[in-house]
Parts: sequence; structure tokens; C-alpha cells
Amino acid sequence: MYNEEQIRDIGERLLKFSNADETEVLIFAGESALSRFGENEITQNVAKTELSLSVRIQHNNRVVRLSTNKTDDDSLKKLIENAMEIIAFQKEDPALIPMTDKQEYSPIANSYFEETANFSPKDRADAIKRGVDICAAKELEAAGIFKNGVSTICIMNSKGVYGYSKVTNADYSITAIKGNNAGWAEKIVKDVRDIKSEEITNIAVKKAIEGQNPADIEPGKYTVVLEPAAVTDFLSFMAYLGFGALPFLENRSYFSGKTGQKVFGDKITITDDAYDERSVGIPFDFEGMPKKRVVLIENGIFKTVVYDRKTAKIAGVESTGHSMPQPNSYGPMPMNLVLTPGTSSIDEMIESTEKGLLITHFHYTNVVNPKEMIITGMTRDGVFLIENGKVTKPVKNMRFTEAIPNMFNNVEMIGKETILHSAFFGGGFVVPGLKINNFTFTSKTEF
Amino acid sequence: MKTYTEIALNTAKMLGASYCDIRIILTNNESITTRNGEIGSLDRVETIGFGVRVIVNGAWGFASSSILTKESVEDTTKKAVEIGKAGSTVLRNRVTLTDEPAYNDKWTTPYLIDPFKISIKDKLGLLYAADEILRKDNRIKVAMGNMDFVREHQWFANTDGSFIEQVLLRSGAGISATAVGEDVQIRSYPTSFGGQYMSLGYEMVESLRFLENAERVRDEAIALTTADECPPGKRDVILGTGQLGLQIHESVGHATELDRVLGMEANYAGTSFATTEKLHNFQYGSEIVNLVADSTVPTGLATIGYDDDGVRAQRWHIVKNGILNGYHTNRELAHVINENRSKGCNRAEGYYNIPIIRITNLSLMPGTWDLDDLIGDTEDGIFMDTNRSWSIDQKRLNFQFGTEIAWEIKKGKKTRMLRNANYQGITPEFWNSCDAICNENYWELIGVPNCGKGQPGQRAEMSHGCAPARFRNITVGVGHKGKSSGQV
Ligand SMILES: [Zn+2]
Repeated sequence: MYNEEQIRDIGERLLKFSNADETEVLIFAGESALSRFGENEITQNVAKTELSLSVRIQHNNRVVRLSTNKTDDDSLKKLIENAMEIIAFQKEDPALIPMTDKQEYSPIANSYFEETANFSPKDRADAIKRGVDICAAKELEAAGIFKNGVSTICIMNSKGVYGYSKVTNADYSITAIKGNNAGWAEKIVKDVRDIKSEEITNIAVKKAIEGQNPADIEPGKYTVVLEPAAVTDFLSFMAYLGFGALPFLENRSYFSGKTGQKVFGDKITITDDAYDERSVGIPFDFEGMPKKRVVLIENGIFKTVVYDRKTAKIAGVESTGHSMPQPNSYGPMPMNLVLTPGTSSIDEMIESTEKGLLITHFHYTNVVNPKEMIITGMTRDGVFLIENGKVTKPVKNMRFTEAIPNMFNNVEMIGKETILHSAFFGGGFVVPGLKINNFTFTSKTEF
Repeated sequence: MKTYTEIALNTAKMLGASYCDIRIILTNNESITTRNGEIGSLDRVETIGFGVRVIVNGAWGFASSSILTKESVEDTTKKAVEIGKAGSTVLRNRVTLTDEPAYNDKWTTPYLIDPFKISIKDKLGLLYAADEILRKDNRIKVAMGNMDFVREHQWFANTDGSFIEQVLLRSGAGISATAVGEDVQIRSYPTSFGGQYMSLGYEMVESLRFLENAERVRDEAIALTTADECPPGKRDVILGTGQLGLQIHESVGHATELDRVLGMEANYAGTSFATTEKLHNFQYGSEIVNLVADSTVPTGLATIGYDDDGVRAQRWHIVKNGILNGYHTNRELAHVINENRSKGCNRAEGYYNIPIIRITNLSLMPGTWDLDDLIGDTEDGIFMDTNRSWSIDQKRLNFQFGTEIAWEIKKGKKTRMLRNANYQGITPEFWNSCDAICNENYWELIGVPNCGKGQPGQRAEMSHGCAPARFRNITVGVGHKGKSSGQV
């Protein structure tokens, strides 16, 4: 495990070796360990310690990025040499934005837990055994993972930027299987002590047992009660299709030209907030700008997208601190979406439903139409019919094809409980469950 | 390198491991993206490291490190053994491996031009030239070009006595244009999501002829923004290779990975409908459907000398004359289907992952048709090509694919262009509706460089050979959007 001093030393040595106009280094370090189980036994057990560094050099209005996992002086010198050699061949870009000046960052509390970092293979095996024993006792097969890790990100540049962030994460996920049908549950946390493998296993087991012999069902429009895990995919796709400045400015986003307009139902407020204590965040972006809290949708009204310095310059606004490693071709992206919770429990959503479906989560969702934000995907690991306010029987899986704006215009209730969902580039989303009317299923499958 | 591999093997044996292998990998990666006449990204990565895998008390243990010293190899091996011992407390079946001869060999991807020796200037020059053609019309808002090159130099040794050195080289390149009008439409060349990828050198990039194709790509993207939407209904569908490759991947490749079939991927990637009692008796497709797995086919992305179990590359039928005939296997699981040798499909991403069963090159064997004759023989159909969107259920039955471009076929003639085309089906019904496959003149390998599987997630690459084929009476136009309603 690398500590802050060692990581800072690598960055400082690299900056010292560079004679370029501007140099920036991103260092990613971490330890991660994962135990995987299937058919009620541990099938894989892996651990890795990694450190990689990525250097961006800007010289004479030209840019290049090189990466390596070798950190001795000779390797770092060679890296800089290679970069200068490559950069010489490039054409000048007079519009190239200078690197970020020195910045101050607000600390993010409660993101690192010693207990998570030190959780051992034996600890994971014990937790898995407690889960697997429950499944075995009910004659179910269990498959899943227990993982824990520490990830560190450090950014430094030749203009004085220094940012350092260290977070821990742990994840227990289990699928309990009986014959053709399964139940699933997962918990992602920062503090491993918040994972009680028995509790999570019991949710999956209940779904598997109650999900036996699912009835046939025809596709069509249904009221759906989406558990929080079933809502995550829609936020992820919105983050990447709609909420970044690049598609927005190029008229490729659903939100293009809709600033100040009502796009979703009144109840919907979505922010990007790395400082939300339920989330896992970094206080700076990948070009060293402080991350701002950004309200994207407020009571259904579209307010803004997120920016990096390049797109902010084009739009004539300030960076919101959402840059990905520069240069890149996809633009800035939100990493910490928070869908503001409501006041309902999942049980209340069920009780208020005359006829509908309770959905555990979705599988293999993908984009059908990026501008309209139409998404398709399959239900998975537990779909139940709700009749007259009660869950009555399991039904077979179906495929939905639905436009995200339709969904968020048809939200009747929002859950009060949220989950943490891992997002790309080490981010996290805070997600409640939703009750949605007129949700469109377009085809069915055989199980 | 033998010094290091010997330390790992000896340390593991001393600590009571019944099996050990070590893979040392030096990877060089270069990736270039251009976007609207600028550098989108330009990244060169070099990494070195090793992974040690052991079987101890019948359980797997694995650990890896990026620090290649004698001390680190010894420590990492000890860690792998410790992890294996912890895992053995939750164990029902002891791991046993099928036999494989010991090899002392070196294998290298055949190629002509080392892509790492071509200057960045030349590469950027070609991408910028294509970019300029793509953006000659201002309705094109995003022009992209990319090149990716990977060289993996690996040394493998195991306690069975193998020592195998391999140098694998893969190249990829593509261009695309996104037109923005009433609708947003993308057109890619030679295919989508980064273009074509092969186990070849820079000669592959040269053979693609970007500059000769850029104008057509641009014009098709623009034409698509005003084309009619693919109407909903049941139609005969002819799939071009840029779509059929992914159809093979998703509905046959993943469905026949033996670990999925046995439920070992149930928590994430999913399982499979193609269960073992169906072997040799299940009608997967029509009689003309022959799907061959082949880790030896020239230029295939999964073409290797040996897999990460140390098993030599092979060729076999997954579907033979329409019947399910085999699976993708490894040394741990082959015995479950009563096979005494692995098919050599165990592969890991990088040194830091444990190998898992991956699809190898899996191809639909060519048929007899000429494409013009096939279109001429189609009364009322849609020709779809170049994948844009994919989704399939966790047992690999219900799928829905969207394509970049389509044309309606009426009375044997290719007519109007259609946008937002998609089709949906159930895997065995779909393959059983295949009634015509074009001949070897149309057959090509389509590279999939980004296949994801496993926890932690691992990427693998493979190719799928195919020629355009016809499928009868398929559901198309799902989620067709009325002109003004905004509803689906
Ligand atoms: Zn795949």
C-alpha cells in the first residue's frame, strides 16, 4: 500500500524531470480484493495492488498523454523523453487551454474507513460462509461476490495544483438460485461494517423462493414499483447521454435548448453532489478544478449541465469541476448524481398500486435512441405482480423499451430510502426507488 | 524470466500448493483519437506485472503485482497461497484440472508492419485527412477517428512443466460521422464502436482505405437524419456482417461459455438457456447454421498459441448442422461435460486478473448465396447493417439489436433508406428462421475488442466471421416513434 508521502514523491520527481511548458500528473493507486462464489463455494479469490501514473504534457501549444505503472527515476525520465519526442510531431493548437492554476479543495468527510481497508480474505470468506449457509439450508444455490478496496487519486501540475483523495469501498452482492429462477440483492458501502451478509442474503433468498414458477405475462404498459437498484441504470444513461456539456452544446442531448423548461414531473430534483455524505466523491476533477455542487433538474425544470474548462469556455460559463482526464473526446460528466428522495417506502408504493409490477433490477440496458434517451433492457432476478395493493405472484421477465423523459414525467411516488450505486471513474450515485405509471414493456422471454 | 517463474513455482510447491502457474506480462498500448480536427486523446501506456495462480487444499488462490523482483515474486506467491487457504473454508468440490501436455514453445502473431514503429505524425495525418472529408458538410457535428494498438508480451510457466512465451499484437482503427438535424444519426466505418480490430500490424489500418470511404460515410449520416423511421411489424431481415457478427457474439458466444451454463456467472453476466442436457440434441438453428469456434484462424482477435491455462489453440463446432455441438471450456470445467481435454478458452485481461472462460473466434460458416441474388429473392424485407445498440436477457434468449443503417427491400430490390432500425427475437427461434447465408466471397471477420465479463470486470477480444444472412419473419421497429408524439 502506498501512502500520501510516497505518492507525492513520485509526482514531484516526475514534475522535476520535465522541462515542458506545462506538466500534469495523475496518479491512481489502490488495493482491491475480491472473493467470488458460485454454486455455494468460493470460486475465485483475487487481490491486487496497483499504481499507475498518467502524465499530460503541453508544450508549444501541443498536447500528449503517456501512462505507465513504472515509477523509478529512469522510467519517469524515459516517459518524459518519449512524450517530448511524440509532441514534436504534432500540429499546433492555438486554442489549447493552459493547465489549471493552484486551487483549494474542500475536504470530503467520511470517505475512508480503516476497517474496510484492512478487511482480510478470511473476513470475506467468513461473511460469504454466513450467506452461503443460509442458501444451502433452503436448498438454494448462491453466486456472488464480496469485495473491498482502497482507491487513491492524486493530481499535481507544474503550476502548483495538488489534490489527493483516498476512499474505501466494499460491496456484497448475491444471487440465490433455485432452478430457472433467482433472487438478487446487493449492498455497496464505504464502511464495511455496514454490510451484514445475512441480511442481504435473506433478501435474495426471499425473492428466489417467492419467485418460483413465475406466471406468463403479456408486454404492454404497466404501473411499476422500481426498487432503487432498478433506477440506477436510468441515471447512468442520463449522466452520459444528457447531462454533459459536450452533447448539450452540440445539440445531441435531450436537454439541448431546454434550459429553464419543464422536462420532468414536479417531484424530480437531480443534483450532482460529490459532497453528499451518502455518496462517494472526490473534491477535484481530472484537470484539478474544485468540484462544485450542481443542480441539474429542480422540481422538474432543467437548469444546467456540467462543464469542464474547455466546454465552459465555449459556452461562456465557469467550469463546474467535472472534467475527465484531458484531452478526451467525450467531454465532462457528472459522477455523483443524487436523485432527491421522497417520503414513501416501497411497501407504501405497493399498497397504493391497484395493478402493477414490482421490479428488483434490470439487466443489460442499452441505448436505443441517444437524443430521445430511449433505453431498452430486461427485468431480472425477481418480477412480481401487484394486485389491489398486494404482491400476489411472480411473473416472467420482460423487456422494456422506454424514453427516460416519459418515465420521469410519470413518477407518482419517490422512495425515502436510498442506495449507493457505483458510478464510472470512481463516482457514486444516490438512488431511491420509484413508482412510475405507464411504463412500457415491449416483449417477453421464456423464464 | 525463467528465474522469476521458477521462484513462483518452487515457493508454491513448498507451501503445499498442488498446482501453480505464473504469467508475466509486458503490455504496450497506444491509443489515438481525433475529434473535429483536434486530438481527442493520445495515450501511450506501458505496464509490466505478473499474476500467480495456485490450487491449495483444492481451492484457487490468486495474487498479482506490478513489481517484478525476486522478492516480490516470492511474496506474491505466498499471498496467493494464503488467499487460497482462506477460500478453501467455503468449498464443496476440490478443483481438478484436465490433463494437458507440457509445452516449451514461443508463439507470435504474424504481422507485416509493427504499428509502434509508425510515427504518431503519420497516424494523425491519416486521421486528420479523413476528418476533413467527414466535416466538409456542416451538418456533421462530430467527426471521430481512432487507432488502437496493443502488444502483449507474455511468459507463462506452470507446475506441469510448461514454459510458453507469446507475443500477441492487435490493431484497430475506425472513423465515424455524427449528423445533427431533426434527429441525431451516426455512421461508422468499417464498423461501429471503434471500427475494425484484428490480430495484425499497421497493414490492417492501411487496408481500410479511410479516405476512399469517408465521403460515403458522411453522406449516409446526413441522409439518415431525414430518412423514414423503420416501421414496426414482422419482416424478413437480411443482416450485414457489421450486425451479424455481434448477433453471433451475444446469442451464441456467451450462451455457450461453460461457466455461464453451469451458473458460475449467475450473479453478474448471467447464465444460459443452452444447458448441458441439450448438447448434441438441441436444434439451435436451421440445418444450414454451422458455427465454428477457432482460436487458430488467421487475424482473429482471439487467435493465440496457448490460452492462460497453457492449453494449445483448437478449432471445433459449437453448432453443427443446426444442432448444439459444443461449448467454450477450460481445464477446470471441461470434465463436467465429460470431456478429457479443455478447448483452451481460459483467458485473463492483463497480469492482474484470474483467467476465466472467454468466447474465442466464433464464426458462421459461409453458405451458397450471392448477395444480389439473396436480395432479389426477398419479397418484402429489410437489410440492416452496422450495430448501434444491443441488449439481451441473462439467459441469452430475448435480444433486441439496433443498427446504424437499413434499407427496405421490396420485390427483390433495395429501396428507401431507413433510420433507427431495430429487431427483436428469441435466440433459437431466430437462428431456426435462418434460410439463406451468402457465400465465402462475402465472409469477413468482425472484431469485438470490448467483451466484458466477470467480477472484477475483465475485457477480452475475439472475432466473428460471417457473410450476410437472411432470417424470416422477424419483429422489427420496436419502440417506433410517431413523428410528433415523442412517445415510444
Ligand atoms: Zn461479450
